[in-house]
Amino acid sequence: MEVVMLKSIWPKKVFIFLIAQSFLAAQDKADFSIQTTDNKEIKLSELYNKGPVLVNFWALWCEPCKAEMKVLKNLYEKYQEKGFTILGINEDSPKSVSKVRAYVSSQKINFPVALDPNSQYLQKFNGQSIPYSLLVDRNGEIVYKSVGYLPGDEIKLEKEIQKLLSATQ
Amino acid sequence: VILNKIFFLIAMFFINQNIFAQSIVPSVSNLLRYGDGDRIFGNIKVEQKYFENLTDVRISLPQSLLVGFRLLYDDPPETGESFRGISRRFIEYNSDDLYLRAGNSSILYSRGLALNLFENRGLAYDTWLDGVILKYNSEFYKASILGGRIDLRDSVNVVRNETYKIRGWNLELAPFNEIAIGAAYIYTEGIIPQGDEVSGIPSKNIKAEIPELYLDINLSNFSFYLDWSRKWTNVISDRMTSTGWGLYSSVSYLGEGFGVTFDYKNYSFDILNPYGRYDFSRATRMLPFQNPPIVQKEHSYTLLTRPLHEVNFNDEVGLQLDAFYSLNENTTLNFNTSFSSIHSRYQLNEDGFTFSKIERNDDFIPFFKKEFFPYYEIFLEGEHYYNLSSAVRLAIALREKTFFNEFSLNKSSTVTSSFIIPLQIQHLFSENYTITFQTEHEWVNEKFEIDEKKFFNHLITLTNSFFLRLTATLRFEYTTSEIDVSDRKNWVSGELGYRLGQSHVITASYGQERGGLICSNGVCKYIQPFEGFRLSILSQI
Repeated sequence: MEVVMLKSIWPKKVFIFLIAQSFLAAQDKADFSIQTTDNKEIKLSELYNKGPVLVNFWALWCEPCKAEMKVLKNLYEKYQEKGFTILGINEDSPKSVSKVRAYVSSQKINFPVALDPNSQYLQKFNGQSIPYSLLVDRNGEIVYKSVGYLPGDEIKLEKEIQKLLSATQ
Repeated sequence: VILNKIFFLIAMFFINQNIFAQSIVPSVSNLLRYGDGDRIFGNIKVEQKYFENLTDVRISLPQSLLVGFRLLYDDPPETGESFRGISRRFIEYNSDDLYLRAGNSSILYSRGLALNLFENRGLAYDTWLDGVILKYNSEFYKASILGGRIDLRDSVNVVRNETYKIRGWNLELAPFNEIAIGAAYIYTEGIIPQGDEVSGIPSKNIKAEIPELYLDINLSNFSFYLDWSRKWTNVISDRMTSTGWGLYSSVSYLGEGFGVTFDYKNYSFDILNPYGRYDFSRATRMLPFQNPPIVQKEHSYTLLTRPLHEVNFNDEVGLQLDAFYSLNENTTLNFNTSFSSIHSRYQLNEDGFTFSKIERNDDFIPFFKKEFFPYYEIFLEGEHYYNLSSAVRLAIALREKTFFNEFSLNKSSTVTSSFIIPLQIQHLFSENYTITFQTEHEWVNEKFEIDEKKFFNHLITLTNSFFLRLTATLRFEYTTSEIDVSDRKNWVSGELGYRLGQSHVITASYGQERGGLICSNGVCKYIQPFEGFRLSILSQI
């Protein structure tokens, strides 16, 4: 029945999709490339191939985000040698993009921070509000999600990071 | 409806193809909002109930495909029109180099002088495209084309129900990693209503072209951005054309523990005399899908989020300086100052009816004289962490806006100034208990010639967090102003939030909300005072 309906409505386009699908190589892992504040293109898979990655969506206007950024910086410094990294994705609108670099520099944040002034990447991960964090394992799978930030949340997050690092080792 | 059916047929086709391969990764976010109370205007209370359930679904398929849709039940709505059904749907292919998306999309070209499509549900503002976007990225260039339709429905001004057919492209060349040069072009055909259906005033049909050029230099310690666009509008029904332009630039310098940014705006998209300037339905003004930087600080303190000044993208020149400085690892200072005005003044002629434009040669910088509607803001904030999760934030802010009455021969003006001191203390007692205390005090001075009104606003917020799950917030606001639309002197509300796991947040609140003008991304809406109960449940699975 479904085939009949498709034939009658969109036979050519469905056919093109079928052909295209058969030629395209399968890519099961979620991945994306994004531009960092220092104009470098960074790929998520390049990061998670080395170890667990925390993708953190934040903005300058979001006070809980900045409070969380402080503890994330500490977690990064503590576990980066074991392969853990953080990818900060800034959600400020275009008007604040130039200030993001200044903030990152003043806070001495060493992990990569990328720009998403049109919320394209936040939408990709279906984020409704920030701060929004996703912990990605070495297989590219999202193993932990967190919406919002309350002081103390980092304790649970740290346990998740330790779990992933011990599984890797 | 036909497009939605076709979308679902294709989506089901792909899902059916892959469901047994277990290679589908679904992601669902759901936001339920319910409210029951009264909207208040003076002595008049209007009962308001709203119920909104918004479900965003993304289904990642193999071969870099992504299917998404939004189910929206918004009836009765809090703002805007009722809606039940699929309000968004798209299919996306995204490989390393190629990005193709059909359906609803947002997109940004450069800094938004020509195109910046976004949604803000809180302000019921939505300029998403319904169409096709194709992007190609290589090492040395990025190219993009788009085509589709934008339906803009304004929740406050119901007459503003504009539709645009839009086509455009963007090409960015990056010969070196540090430099990018770009160009963009937008062509649109739009229909701009001039009144509601009852008024019988015919809509205006326009054609507009917006080319844009930009330069981005990004060195390790220094960055420079220059963005210029021109808008040419042909109002077909009036047989007239209008041209305008906009310029935005920023320079940043980063040092050891500090960063400074200087921004400049010169928006001249539709400079008109006072008759034209206050005609908000005019067809020649900046189009809603353009959204350049506001070059003013966007604040997070409540009293500071109530703006004194709405950015006038059609006629405004301004500057901003923003600096972050770390005194040490735990203490950061943020200084921000901005200043803006209109370009030229208009003088009322002796006939008391017509205006003459008085040109000035230095109209590329803002001017302090009252005839130029000057606005300035100075903000300084210090933040100190005395342990990892406990901090004190203290700020001071001074703002002043001048409104000049151009229709009066005696050159009268109203100067509103506001001085605000916010203080926030956040203390982590243990993993199971955190307290956040915030107080904001605002002194307001409104001066109209020799008349002067002084009043203050005060806000206190106390938030307790228990076991990283439960938050209880009490909010109290007080004013000595004699005039407030809700006809009150104080507003009290309480809020309970509960986090279920890491992915669900339930929030319930009861009390009075003051409302007022709210701006985000340069879009401003007046939010009416509300008294009653609100519930929201946010889930991200």
